[in-house]
Amino acid sequence: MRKSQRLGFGVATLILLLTVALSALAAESEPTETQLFLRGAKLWGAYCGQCHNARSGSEFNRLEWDTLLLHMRVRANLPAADAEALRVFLRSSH
Amino acid sequence: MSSLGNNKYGNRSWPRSLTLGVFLLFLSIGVGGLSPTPAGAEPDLRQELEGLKAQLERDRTQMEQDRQRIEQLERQFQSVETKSEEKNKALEEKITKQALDQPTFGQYLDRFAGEHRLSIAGYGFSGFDWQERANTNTFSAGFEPIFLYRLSDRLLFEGDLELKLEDTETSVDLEYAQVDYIVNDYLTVVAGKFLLPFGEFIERQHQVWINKLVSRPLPFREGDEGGLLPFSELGAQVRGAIPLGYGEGTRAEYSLYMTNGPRFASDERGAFFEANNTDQNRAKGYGARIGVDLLPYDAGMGRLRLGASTFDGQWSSHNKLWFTSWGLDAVYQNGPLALRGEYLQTRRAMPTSIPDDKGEGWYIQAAYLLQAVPVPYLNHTELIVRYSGQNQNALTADALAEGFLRNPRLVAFGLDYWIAPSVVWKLEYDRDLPAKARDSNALLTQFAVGF
Repeated sequence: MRKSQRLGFGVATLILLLTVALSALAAESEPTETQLFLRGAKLWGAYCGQCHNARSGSEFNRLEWDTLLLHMRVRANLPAADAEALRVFLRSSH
Repeated sequence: MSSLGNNKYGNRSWPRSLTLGVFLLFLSIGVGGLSPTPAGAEPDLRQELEGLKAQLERDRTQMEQDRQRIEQLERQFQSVETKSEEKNKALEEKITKQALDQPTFGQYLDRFAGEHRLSIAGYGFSGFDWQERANTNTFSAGFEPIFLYRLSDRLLFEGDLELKLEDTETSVDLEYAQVDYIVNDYLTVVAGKFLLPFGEFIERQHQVWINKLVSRPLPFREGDEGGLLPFSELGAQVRGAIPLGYGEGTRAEYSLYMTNGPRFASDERGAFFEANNTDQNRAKGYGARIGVDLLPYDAGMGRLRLGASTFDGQWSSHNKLWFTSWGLDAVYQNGPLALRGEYLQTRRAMPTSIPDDKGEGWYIQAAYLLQAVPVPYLNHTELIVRYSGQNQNALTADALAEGFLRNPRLVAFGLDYWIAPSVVWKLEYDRDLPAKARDSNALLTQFAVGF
């Protein structure tokens, strides 16, 4: 195995271990719906507007937002808590 | 006495006087016995009265203390009662939840199979291109539906069909088809054909309703259009984000992937990339991107994201020849202002005695939305300028014959009118300023819709 490949695998393993460790340490306290809504309202312009114009919550229905936020969480690498806040905010238009 | 003796009772007045005196004596004694305040008893009564008053005050104080104690007990009782009710309610909810959480066989199957939500997103466009150097003068159109199938809150399939008009034909290209599984808050596994997580433009900016200009930056032209990187790769990746913790909106993001690896149309220097759907060699391609959002959104300083990427792999089916690349990207946004830029270098090792095939590219773009201008229509208008360039030390004979340049430079001026957040009419003027070739002009317009 080449040196660069070994280095690549090493970095990959390190990141995997880090994510597992962070998962274990993740706080279990869950914010209320209102707290999520307020946070989502702030994040909406900040996150969405970084790549494209922020879409209005009324453009899609609640189930479509569930799917689209899952898509955007993967595409934009949104942190889980932020994606959930955005989902609650955008769903609230219906 | 003489005066008494002179009245009609004068002769017998002394026994009557005696009787009267005795009577008065007894009367005085009797009345004296009934007197309330005998002169010698007054101090005792005062003391007694003071004692009674003090006792009364003590009684009142005691009563007040008793009343306060009773109120305190009542409050405690109410608190205990409330807590008891809450506990009962929580217990009921827990029991109900446990009851509901025990699925029937059908529910278990539904849960396993997911919620079955299909959504269709995507974008389309129509436009007109006039390009002096390429000698094009044509209408254009395209359509790219994206199928999103959410099997559960953790599992998503997404497929993007790119329908393009090319000369006399309509082509269909599978831009990506991937399964995403969210393992936890920080890790998502992606498998299939996916957009290359290299820089910003390929994954997040090339979509026509997002790209603010009709044209693409020179190094990010796709496939046989002359760019420096493949747009899609077939393989698997892990990706995710970790909040940095020092402010809302700060995060680090990563993507690590392994793919079939790069593949070129020929062994000739300067050859374009082509799809490597079936791996041509046993070696794989490897890549990574790391990005950080540095500024908290509530700091009021805008948003800044910096990123670094690499994509490497053996390209040759005969020799262990590597293609390597690296790039840097940055995005800054503050209100109506958006700045972005990327730089990348590529190197394709060639067989002995043939110089390496090297490439270099960059772009920097500024956009400003005139939203603050209180004039109808003008406040939906955005002005854009972009400068992009590319250097290649080699091009194929076919590419040279088609008019491709080794050192193209492009300045693009754009004017966008946003009808809706995802509906835009774009007008673009390009000035082509290549090294060692004559300048040329282009005029492009496009109506793009994201849905």
